[in-house]
Amino acid sequence: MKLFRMIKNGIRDAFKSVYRNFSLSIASISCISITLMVVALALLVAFNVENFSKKAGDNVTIVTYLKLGVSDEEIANFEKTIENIENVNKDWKKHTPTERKNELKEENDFLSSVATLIDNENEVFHYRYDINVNDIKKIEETKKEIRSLTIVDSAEYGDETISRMINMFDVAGKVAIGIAIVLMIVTVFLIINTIKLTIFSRRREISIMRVVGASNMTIKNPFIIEGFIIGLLGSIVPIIVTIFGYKAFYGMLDDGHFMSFWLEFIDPQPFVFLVSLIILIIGVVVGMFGSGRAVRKYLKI
Amino acid sequence: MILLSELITLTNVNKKYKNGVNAIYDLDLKIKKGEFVFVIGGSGSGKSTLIKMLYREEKPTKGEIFVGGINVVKLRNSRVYKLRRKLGIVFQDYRLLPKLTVYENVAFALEAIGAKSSEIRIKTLRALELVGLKGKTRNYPDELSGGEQQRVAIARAIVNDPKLILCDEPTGNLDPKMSLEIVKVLDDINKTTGTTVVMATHDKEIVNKFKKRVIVIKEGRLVKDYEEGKYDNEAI
Repeated sequence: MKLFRMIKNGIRDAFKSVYRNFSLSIASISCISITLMVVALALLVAFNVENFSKKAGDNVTIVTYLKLGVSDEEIANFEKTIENIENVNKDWKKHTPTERKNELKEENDFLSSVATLIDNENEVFHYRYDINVNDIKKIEETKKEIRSLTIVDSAEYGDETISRMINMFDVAGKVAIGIAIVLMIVTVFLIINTIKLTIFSRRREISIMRVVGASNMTIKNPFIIEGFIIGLLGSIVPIIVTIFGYKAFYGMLDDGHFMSFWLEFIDPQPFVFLVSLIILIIGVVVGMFGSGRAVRKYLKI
Repeated sequence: MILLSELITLTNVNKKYKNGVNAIYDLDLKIKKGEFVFVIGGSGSGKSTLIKMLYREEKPTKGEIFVGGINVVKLRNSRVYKLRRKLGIVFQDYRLLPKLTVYENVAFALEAIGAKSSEIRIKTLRALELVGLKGKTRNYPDELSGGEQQRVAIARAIVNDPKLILCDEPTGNLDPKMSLEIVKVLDDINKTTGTTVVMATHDKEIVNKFKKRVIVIKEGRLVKDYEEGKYDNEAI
């Protein structure tokens, strides 16, 4: 009951003070809105890049040919080596010369007749490995690593544009996160100032509260709630923009695909709600953190 | 050991402010439950510092202070409210909230500690009755005289049934007649409820009239402590 009363009074005071310091509150709310908008963009990009990478990682294969006439021992060594490369998916596929000859036979009649003529397949067919990666963003390095092995004749992967594009998106997402962090810091400072103004207009009240024995919690409460409200109000616009913006964007795509099979965007439902929830939490936490910082100084007795 | 009858015990208390000013030297003092004590001394003698240390607005640099069984020196900031709830504090400048009525100002003290609204009503009215302001509950502080405002402050100090009332020059802003009235109110509270009162003052007439225990502080040292004392010019 006591806690409930305290929170009730806190909410009442907080709303009063948001209203009283209207212009500064609006500034804080706008700042938090802009920040959260950038955060939302960063999150949307980051999640989608993750999704692209996963999809593409399964589909882009590094096709590796070994040199002719390698010994069994060398092959075993090679397999051990690639297994130790971190980015290499463990489900790589091995095609021995004999297998490749049989594969050729099954292509069509002509190739089949050619294949039957070959009886020294070990001198004609290379060992071939189809290797998938875990993280498409690092596929280039992985390819180079495989190539650098002496027994490898060649290592190539298909769609280079895809991996470049994903890398680009990845960079864009990281830049957005960087901007979001800077904006968050600015927002925290703005909120600290907003709350300080509130504290200033109530400092007499606070000093009397301290004298009559109000706990720090009781004194802090209204300000923390004020920060909470600022965060809450500040996240409304970004959430609306996120939900409708992403849905509209998704609607423009061809069933979620953009340019290529691998660039598949995440279905808006329930994805946008997850992003909205994250935004809401960030907004509220930033608001409360800012006000908490502002009050701290005034609670030292 | 602290005896049960001692409400306040100061042992070897020293206070040096950060700016280098020495406010209190080697102060030993005991105040029993139910006592009414005047702390007198000139400006800068350290009597305000003494009062402030009792409600933990200031911490001594050395020594021990116990108030109502609480070790004030070791009290953490986050726990200070526990001490304050046992105290009522009255200041020279009243410290009322101008936008609240007399009733609300007194009730504020109870609201701040999360009391029930039914309890707030009963206690607030009782406190206002005790200081003789029952007819002015709806007035705002600026509609009252200085003496009345100070009585509101006293009502706020006693509303939570404190063990101890600390007064820092409560009559400093009042004329002699009103001052007398205020100290009478405090004296009544002391007699009827047994609440201990410690009052810092330099009001000669009041000290001489009430014949209470007087503690004289001069340049940060306790120089005299007499029962039924009077304001002694030479001591100051």
